[in-house]
Amino acid sequence: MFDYFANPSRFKKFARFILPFLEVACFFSLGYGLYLALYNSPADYQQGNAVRIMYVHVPSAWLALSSYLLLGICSFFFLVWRHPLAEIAARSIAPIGTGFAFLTLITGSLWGKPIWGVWWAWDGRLTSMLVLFFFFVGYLSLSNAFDRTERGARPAAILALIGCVNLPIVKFSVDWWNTLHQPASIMRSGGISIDTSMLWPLFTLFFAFQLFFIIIVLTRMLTILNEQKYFNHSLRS
Amino acid sequence: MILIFWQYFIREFEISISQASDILSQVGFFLLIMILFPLALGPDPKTLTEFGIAIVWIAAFVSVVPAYDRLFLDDYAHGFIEKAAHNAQPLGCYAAAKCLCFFLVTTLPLLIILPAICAMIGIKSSIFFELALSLLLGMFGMTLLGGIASGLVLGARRAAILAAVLILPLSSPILIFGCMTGLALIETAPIKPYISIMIAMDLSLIVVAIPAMQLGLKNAIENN
Repeated sequence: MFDYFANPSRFKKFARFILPFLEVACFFSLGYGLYLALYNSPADYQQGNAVRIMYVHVPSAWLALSSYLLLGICSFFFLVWRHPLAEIAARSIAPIGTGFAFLTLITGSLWGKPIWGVWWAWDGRLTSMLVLFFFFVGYLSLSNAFDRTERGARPAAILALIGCVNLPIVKFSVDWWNTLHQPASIMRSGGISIDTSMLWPLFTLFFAFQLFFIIIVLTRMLTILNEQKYFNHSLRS
Repeated sequence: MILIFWQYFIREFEISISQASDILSQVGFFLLIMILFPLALGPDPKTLTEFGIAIVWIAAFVSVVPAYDRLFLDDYAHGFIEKAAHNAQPLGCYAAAKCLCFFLVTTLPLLIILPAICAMIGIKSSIFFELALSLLLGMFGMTLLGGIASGLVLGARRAAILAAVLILPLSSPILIFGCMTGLALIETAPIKPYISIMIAMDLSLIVVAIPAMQLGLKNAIENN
């Protein structure tokens, strides 16, 4: 499959074909998920309506983590096999991941003020998430720091791979340092510890965010490919 | 390989000795950062002792970070890296020698003035050797991180601030465990677990840093 999509025009054709379906699915699942999360789900017996922030916070956090993982995988493919699309994919993923990491920090902070009583605490999960955000910022600034964009691609890919050491720290921070942030309730040994009435809107919104992420990344990749084609064309003539 | 590593090391060492004023200004910068803390926190000895370990670590980190973007810059500009790349030995050998030399010429002067610093901010002199050991381990890891960042930012715009942005998030585990060692020392708790973790971090950093520096340097000279 990786060889199949090594041809940019084949990838472009595929992306253009699949994008409208994804957009429709994203629109409906986002609408349905938000309806469930904001209206048709119970308020928490302790947190009240503030629990609804969780429906945005948790999917953003998952996406921020998985987009850094994806960034690392793309960088690996680019460094080892020099896959032409991997570099473009990494460049498209990075700003989106930064956005989701920022959203995670902001929503967590907004939720923390009424529930914990503080905007911020130096707890393991929060600190490692902040470090993840700074890795994204470092990646973005390194890949844009050179006069020719292609020149920054390999240094940025090396940095992305090194930054992957932070991922297990973020995931297991709640188990290693037993501080303020609550431990995992979905992906944990011993099964899910969250009620179905809250789980269903959470998963719907996670699915919607995932689709949104794929749509934005594919669109950005198409734009970069078209831009390259345009520049090559204008150079030749 | 050992021989060529040694030759690179001697070359670097002679260059750094001939630029001894750079080393002195580094030490001066370290002292100046130290002085800022009593000015900001107030002269109360109790507060200073409480924050003493953190002050030493932060001053040590901040004083070396501005030097990292220039680690490979002179050799890059003079074409020495290209010459080293034509050698039979891998570029990582050159980069490792460079880092080792840089580590020695930046950290040893800090350790020499460390007793004076400890007296100034009220750290007990009995824990001096253990503190020096943890600082040595921490700065070793820091130099390897600096080497990685320096190799990556070669030829970039605003390389100095960029190198700092890359290094500081990566250096957070070293800072955390370094300061934990110091706090354990003050409370006379066992420091062996922290020292072991710092040695483990340094060893794994060697494994990561040498290929990363080699890739970065190779990329810089190929796309010159």
